[in-house]
Amino acid sequence: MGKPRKLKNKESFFVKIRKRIAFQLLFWFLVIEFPVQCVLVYVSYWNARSIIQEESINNLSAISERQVKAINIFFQQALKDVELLASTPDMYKTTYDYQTLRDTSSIEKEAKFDSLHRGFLMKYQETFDFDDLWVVSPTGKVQFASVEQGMKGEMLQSKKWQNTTVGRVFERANILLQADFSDFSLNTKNRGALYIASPIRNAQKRFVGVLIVQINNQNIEKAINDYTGLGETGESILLTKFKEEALFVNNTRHAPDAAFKKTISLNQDANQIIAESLKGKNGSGMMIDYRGEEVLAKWVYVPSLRSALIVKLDTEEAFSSVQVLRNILFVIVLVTLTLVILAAFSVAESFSRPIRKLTLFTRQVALGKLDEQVNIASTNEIGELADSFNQMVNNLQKSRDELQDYAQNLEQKVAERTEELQAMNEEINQSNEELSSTLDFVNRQKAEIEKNNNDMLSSLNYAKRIQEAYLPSSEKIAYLFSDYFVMLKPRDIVSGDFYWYHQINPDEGILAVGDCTGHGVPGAFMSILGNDILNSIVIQDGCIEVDLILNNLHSGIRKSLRQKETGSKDGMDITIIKVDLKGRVLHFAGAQNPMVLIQDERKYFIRGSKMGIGGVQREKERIFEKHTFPLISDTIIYLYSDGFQDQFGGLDNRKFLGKRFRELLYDIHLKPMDEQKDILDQTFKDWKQAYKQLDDVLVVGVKIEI
Amino acid sequence: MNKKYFVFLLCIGFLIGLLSCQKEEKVIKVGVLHSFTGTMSISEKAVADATLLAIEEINAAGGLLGKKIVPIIYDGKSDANYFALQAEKLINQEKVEVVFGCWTSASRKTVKPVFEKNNHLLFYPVQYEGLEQSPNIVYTGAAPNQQIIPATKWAFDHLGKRFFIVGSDYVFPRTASAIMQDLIGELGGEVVGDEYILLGSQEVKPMIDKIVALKPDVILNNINGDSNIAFFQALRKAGISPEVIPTFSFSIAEDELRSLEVNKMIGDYVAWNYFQSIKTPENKAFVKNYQAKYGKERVTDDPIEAGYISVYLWAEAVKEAGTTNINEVRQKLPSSSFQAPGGLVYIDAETQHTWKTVHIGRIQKDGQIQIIWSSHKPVQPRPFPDSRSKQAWKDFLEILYKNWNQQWANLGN
Repeated sequence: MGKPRKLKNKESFFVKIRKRIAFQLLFWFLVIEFPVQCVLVYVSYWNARSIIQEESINNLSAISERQVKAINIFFQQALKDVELLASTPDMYKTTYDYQTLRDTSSIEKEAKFDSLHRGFLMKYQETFDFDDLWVVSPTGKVQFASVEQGMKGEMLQSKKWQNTTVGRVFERANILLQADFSDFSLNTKNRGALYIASPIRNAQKRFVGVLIVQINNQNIEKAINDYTGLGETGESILLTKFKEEALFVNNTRHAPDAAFKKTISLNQDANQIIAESLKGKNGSGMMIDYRGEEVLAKWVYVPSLRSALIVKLDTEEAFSSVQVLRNILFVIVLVTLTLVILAAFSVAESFSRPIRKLTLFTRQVALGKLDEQVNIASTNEIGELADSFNQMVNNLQKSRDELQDYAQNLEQKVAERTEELQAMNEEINQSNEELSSTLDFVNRQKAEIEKNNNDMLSSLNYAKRIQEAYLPSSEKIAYLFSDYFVMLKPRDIVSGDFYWYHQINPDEGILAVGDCTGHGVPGAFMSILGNDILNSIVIQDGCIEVDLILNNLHSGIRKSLRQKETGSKDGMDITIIKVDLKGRVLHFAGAQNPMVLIQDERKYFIRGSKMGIGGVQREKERIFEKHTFPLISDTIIYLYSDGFQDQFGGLDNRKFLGKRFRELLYDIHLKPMDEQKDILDQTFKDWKQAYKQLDDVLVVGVKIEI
Repeated sequence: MNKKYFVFLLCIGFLIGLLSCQKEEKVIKVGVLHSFTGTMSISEKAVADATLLAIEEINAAGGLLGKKIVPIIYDGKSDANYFALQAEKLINQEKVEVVFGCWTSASRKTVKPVFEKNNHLLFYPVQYEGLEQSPNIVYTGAAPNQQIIPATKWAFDHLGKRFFIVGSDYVFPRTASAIMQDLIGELGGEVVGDEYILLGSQEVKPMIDKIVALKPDVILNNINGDSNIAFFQALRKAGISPEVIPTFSFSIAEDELRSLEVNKMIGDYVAWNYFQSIKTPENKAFVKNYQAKYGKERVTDDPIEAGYISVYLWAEAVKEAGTTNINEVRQKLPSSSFQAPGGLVYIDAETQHTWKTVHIGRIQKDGQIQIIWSSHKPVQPRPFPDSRSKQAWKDFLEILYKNWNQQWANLGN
């Protein structure tokens, strides 16, 4: 279970508010508009700030460049002034005179030289606005000092002075033989000082001494403190490295008493920019100055003075215009936000009021009140929706009325129909009873038919056994022939095809193969008749000539069937051969049916006479042709009815045909007879397939060995 | 449809190709032109090494203007005229943005017209005789007032007033000698001898014999290249040791001392703007990096340091200018400074020479130099000594050039 819901009413109220279109619209307006506006304001503000910063830095750079140039010009000019002064005859003469004193310590002479030279030396000092002026011998002895007279007699190459600013500037002028600056330092009175030393040469350019002057600090400040372009808060500071600190060389706008007094520690992280600039690195950007104020600054190293110049401007002043822009943008954001909120509510309300009305109306409709209409005066989609609602309600009202009428009609129809169905039902029941008794009768009839059918089959099978008994036995046929086969395939149970054999003597025998008209029972009757007549002709009457046998058979059939009177056409096609082994001769006669004889691989196809046995006779006497063949070697003879070759089958459901049948006999004639029978049987089955057997099939094959 | 699709693909391919062709180069090519073969290779190869070290350091720190600096190195073969041909190739075929190179004044004189004709820029790192101020050359070696003059004055003050001057017979030693003689005259000293041998020659006997005969207080040595080996061998063999007659050499520094018998040089004097023994954090790092790259046995000296700082000074000016365009870089050169191993250095706006600190030193037994005098701060360069007017100096140079058959060295023909 979850926690119990507290403040249920408030939460419901909030949930309700959240679902309102006004709230959602306002939410999405703010989600889309507010971040975009914030981004735009932010980008605009920082863009403007960046541009102003860049412009300010460029301005400071230009000012620093101008001031560095002014500083360099000032100091180069000062250098030249000192060099020029050092090359005047007055200077050489002064040096020379004082040097004559080196071996003497005449105070009078010294006083004399002082009075002689002090005048113009002081004049030079004032003219060039130097703070002090010293004349020094090549060995470093201060021979004259215009202001700091305590320096007179000091040896600048002594241990006391050699590592001081003054000592070093003297040494440089002495060895380099050119004018040079000292570094900024504090003099003996602890005041800021910058010295220039220059070799003094005579007319022959011989080096005779060194002139050292101290530059007036105020002149230094004049070169640096030009506030043009630096607004109300900008200033320039020249800093020199003094011990481990940066020493102010000039007084500044915000530190009017800083010159050679104020220092900045170079060891603090906050002052790294100053430390780097004193190492020669130039740069620009934002930094915190000595007052702790954020400033935009350009710092450059002034190599000639080994000092760094920083030109800076308070960011507050630099970005003042940007602050105004920021305030304006802020107001714009507020105003836009307010307008957006008002617009959101207004638009939302224009949607949600008609929707609420429509909702109420829909509830009424749901309660079944279809006689009212909603009134929304709006031409937009909501107005169209309201019109559609009204139309829908009208249609609902109509449909309800129609439905009610229909319902009433339907009840009546249902009642009527029910009566009809009941009547039909009674009729169907009656028909069912009648159908039932008919079905019993049909079942009884079926049983009777099946019984009769079985009786008929039994009779036919019995008839078949009788017919088979008439056919000659295997032993009889095998007596004369070395090998033989008989393939008899009745179409029905009993057959119209038959074969007959009579052994005349041990060396002679007669074989006949007949095909009676019809098949089944009528054919079987004919085959019995034919068998009996042949017995009568050959066995009883002793006629053994094959052509005469056929002739008598024909007469016998006609007579037995009273064909002269009745005109019946029943009869048979038959082939008959007589084999004389002793005489080595074979006689053949045929009525319609042929004989195939193969001897020494020579094949003979002998057609029978084109007359059948029995049937209509128009000629006076039916004469059958007799053929005689010598039996000079082993001979194979085939006698057959037309049942095999007339059978339909194969791929195209055609007759087997005689030619194909004879070719089959030629192909198999050398095989053993029982194998030939099997082949013929299988070939017939394969040919017939599922087709019906059209006629009785009888093929007899015999082999005569000589 | 297939045809239209094929044409569309063709257009896209053409556009891509066009954009590729217009793709900006991602490297900055610079020329390094020194003698890697011949008599001056003994000195110049080490300077080239320092130049390449500086380039490598700048590339390792992210390159210059976001691009990698690629040095194109050409051999001047110690032949001044060949230097001019190579300079031409670097500028016009290789299209380098700047060239760092040369040692002998002869080679600088021959390449000067090439750089001026093509408005190109050469940083020349070796101390020289001055008397020159080309807008197309930045001189990062000492001007006469930053080596020759203070050294001679110091020698006059501390070693004696009779001088014997020796040198290789080309423009620098001849001019240095003239400056020295002017100064010594101004100081009241005496030049007892002024002898020369051909550049690369080993025939030092005549000058040695004269030194022995005249017994000066100081020998001022302007011999360059491996001739110094023969000179000092012969000098010592003749019994002239630093204790007997000290030699003040102006073309021998720590690197040359590796090829000489240092134990026979102890106590002699040199004057440079840089010594390996200077104790600054920048120098410590420089020596360490140089030896790490080229071998612990290698030493650094003034020309080597000048070869190194030349690259940094140029790079500073390029960064200030935001481009490698030569005219714009030259504008920014005076505002570029560099905390060099030897101390802060910067380019003089007026002369395009370098403000450098002057040191005088004495050779120690380990081949290092002990500083015995220093200016302690950079000295403004003055390429034209004021012992003569500029015109007088120009006339002096012209006479030398004419006498040497339009060459800047005596070729001995």
